[in-house]
Amino acid sequence: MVKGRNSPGKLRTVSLGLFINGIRGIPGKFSLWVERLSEGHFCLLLLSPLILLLTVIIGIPLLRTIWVSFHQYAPTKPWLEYKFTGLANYISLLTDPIFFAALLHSFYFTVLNIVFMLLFAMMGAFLASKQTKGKAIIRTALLVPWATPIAIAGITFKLMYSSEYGVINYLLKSAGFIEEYIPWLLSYSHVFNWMYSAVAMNAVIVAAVWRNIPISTLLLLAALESIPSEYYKVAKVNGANTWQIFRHITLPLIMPAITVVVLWRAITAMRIYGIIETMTGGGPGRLTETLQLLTIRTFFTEKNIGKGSAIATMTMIFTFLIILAYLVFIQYMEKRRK
Amino acid sequence: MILKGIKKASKLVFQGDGSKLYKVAFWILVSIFILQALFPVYWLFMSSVKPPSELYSRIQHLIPRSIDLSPYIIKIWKFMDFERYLLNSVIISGSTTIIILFVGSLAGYVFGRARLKGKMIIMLTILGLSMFPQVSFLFPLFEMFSRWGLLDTHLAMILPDSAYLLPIAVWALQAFYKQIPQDLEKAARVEGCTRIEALWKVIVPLALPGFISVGLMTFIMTYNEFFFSNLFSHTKASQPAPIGIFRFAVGYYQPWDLVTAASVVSMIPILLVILLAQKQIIRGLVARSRE
Repeated sequence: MVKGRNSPGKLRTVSLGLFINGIRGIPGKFSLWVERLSEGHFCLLLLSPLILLLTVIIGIPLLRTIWVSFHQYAPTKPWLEYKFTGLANYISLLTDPIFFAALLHSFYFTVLNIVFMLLFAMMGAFLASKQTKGKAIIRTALLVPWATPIAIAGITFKLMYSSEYGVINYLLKSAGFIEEYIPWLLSYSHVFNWMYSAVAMNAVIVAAVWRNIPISTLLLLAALESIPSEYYKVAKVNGANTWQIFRHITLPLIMPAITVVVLWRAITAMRIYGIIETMTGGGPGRLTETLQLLTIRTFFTEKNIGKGSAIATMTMIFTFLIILAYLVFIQYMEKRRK
Repeated sequence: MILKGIKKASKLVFQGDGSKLYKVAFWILVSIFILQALFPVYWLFMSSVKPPSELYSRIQHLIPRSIDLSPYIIKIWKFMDFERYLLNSVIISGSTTIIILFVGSLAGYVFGRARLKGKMIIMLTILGLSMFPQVSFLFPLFEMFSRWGLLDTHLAMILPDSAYLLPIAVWALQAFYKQIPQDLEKAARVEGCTRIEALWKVIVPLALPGFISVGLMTFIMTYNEFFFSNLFSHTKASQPAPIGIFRFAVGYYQPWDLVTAASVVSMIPILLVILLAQKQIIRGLVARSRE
């Protein structure tokens, strides 16, 4: 026996070589195996990473949220486990004024957000479609709000709204619109509850609209640009004035884009969180607390998992209704195109 | 009366007859539009270079009277360890982009080119999943991550981010795939390419512009993401830059000079990307919702 022939070092080298040879064979074998698959199985293979990721991260947790909403669970007392309580969470929800307040805030936010965003986006899209020079400038300027991280947008607006050193207060006061600095994000009025809540909420909506304008403008602009210019020429030859052209040619043709933008914004407004959390954190009191913020507060501050899941499920139902409207609309458009 | 005014104004805006009044009105509206888009970012930058005496003053000049760059040079690196947050941001957004492009390139191929029964239903289900608000799967995910010990690691943000943004990316990618002619793939197969070779060597290179658009879009959206990073990261070890800045800004003492300077620094990479590649980004943004 020659010493060292079977030494661990050599063994390791040999096995490493075998291992590398084995690995080298894998791509070839794998590709051969793929060749033998049927068309359908090949598609499933390509889809499998997507399906795996979506099922584990979104699908299963989504179903579990619904399941948990019928149970009671206290994270601080894990030995109690999940206790089935039926509809108790939903009943406590429907008797809870805080939930309805949050619902109202969400609704208010969504509607105002859509109205003002659409107004500005239409204006921007028309301006950009008119002139090539204006278009290039507007497009570049538009991408800046879109690319501002949500947290930084919220912080910037918080600084601008500040009641002590905010530029908005300073500008309004030097222009003579207000006498005293207004604490926009902390405003109080004891007379009308809803009026007071509107001050902070409107301030938040301004920031949200600012961040949402770009993408809507770009979509509307794309729709405007896809209208053939012959339509306008024919209309002009036939003696239509500008208002008639807008009313009878432009508007019907960009209506699909407008609907998509509105529905898309409605869906994303249901999950508004970042801008409110960074600007007011749901305050003052609970006056800017929307459904998402309420759910998170119920989960992590009140540690009431069952009730939080019930709110989340309700949010899901609302979103589902909007998505359903969206899908029905898409189907309808497909049919009309054909 | 009001309606007449609106009609007149709209006439002015839509006519474009080249009269002087029209031109003036046009440029006034354009500047209003650009001003509202850029002012907050301008203000953020101006606040970051002001000395504290001006920053915390009731009188705010639109152009600062004196300049103090110490937050940029020393403070954010020394008092905030800002490089750590930036590194986290790059790791999280970079990995998410790679995952999304890899998984999305495979799935986009199926949706864009293959003939598969029930394709539309699968696509709509996937898109529908990404439309639900994040809270609808938040707590089970939180529970799962805490059981696996993933909380406060980069993975706790990479996984949800990539799952949540994937459907949109897949929709955009399949639109790009559709534009490639079918014959090219067939020719490659006849030449003796295997399926995987045909996919990687013929189709993917042709869809490369689409990949760049979707990749840039994904990178920016992950970089800006707030929800998961706010709830799943607790310390410097995993917090991306915007969250780190936010945590600094909500404390009892608000160091606005630090916060604004750090915000500007964290926005620089993204602004650079936008200036260099705005065409690709706009193409990606529009493609994703064309369908």
